[in-house]
Amino acid sequence: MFIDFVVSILQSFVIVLVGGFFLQKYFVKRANESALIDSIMRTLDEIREDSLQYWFSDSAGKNANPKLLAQRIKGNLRTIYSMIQIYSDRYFPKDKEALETFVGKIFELTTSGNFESEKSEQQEAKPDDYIRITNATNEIRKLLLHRKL
Amino acid sequence: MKIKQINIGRDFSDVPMGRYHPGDGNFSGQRFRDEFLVPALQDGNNVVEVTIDDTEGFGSSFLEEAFGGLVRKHGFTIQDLEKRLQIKYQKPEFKMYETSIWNHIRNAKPEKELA
Repeated sequence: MFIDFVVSILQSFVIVLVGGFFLQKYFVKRANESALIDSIMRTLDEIREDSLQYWFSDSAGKNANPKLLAQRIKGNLRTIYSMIQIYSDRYFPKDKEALETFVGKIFELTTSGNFESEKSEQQEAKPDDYIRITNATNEIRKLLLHRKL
Repeated sequence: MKIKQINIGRDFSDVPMGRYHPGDGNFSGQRFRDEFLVPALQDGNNVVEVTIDDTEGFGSSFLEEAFGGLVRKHGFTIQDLEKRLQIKYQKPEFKMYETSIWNHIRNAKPEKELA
């Protein structure tokens, strides 16, 4: 009788322990995913702000330092592509290709044409690129927010 | 076929940037194309392996001028380049640049044909 009671207590304890372990694992995973999403969002914001400043300042003179800005844009693009790959592989493989395509689109929009070039044989930045850059960053944001909420 | 290897980071610059030479500096896409890619590809028996991941990264303008320019300015065909040009990298994030390189090659139009 006493042994049955002890076994029953032990069983409950083990169930609670195992359940707690998986529950904690789930919440830690969600917290890590959320932190990674926040980090991607911040980098996206920087890319958007920097590239809009790089391309759409009224004159080169108003741009604090376009050469440094260009390096920051390139560095952040590489970082965000890497983060998107890590995120997709770990949490969301289904949308990896879509996310990579969106970052690729932002890469082309922000660093093509006369990027890092003083000569203007190629096209100047077009006003409609402004909305394209904004929308492409928002597409990624939308996909990630669906996961976070 | 012989294999000709070019490592952009080691042979050219680890911070390649800009489009035109000399206006955009010594490490522009045009200079890389004219001094490295074209001579390597001109021997029709060469397969050219270009390693891209010993660099800090690229802008699309550099990649377009260097690789798209092979079709636009030098008359290489897309089919020929698909057969003889290989882009190599170990770091997974450099897939973004590889995708861009092939998009530029496939979207480029020979300028003589356009004129």
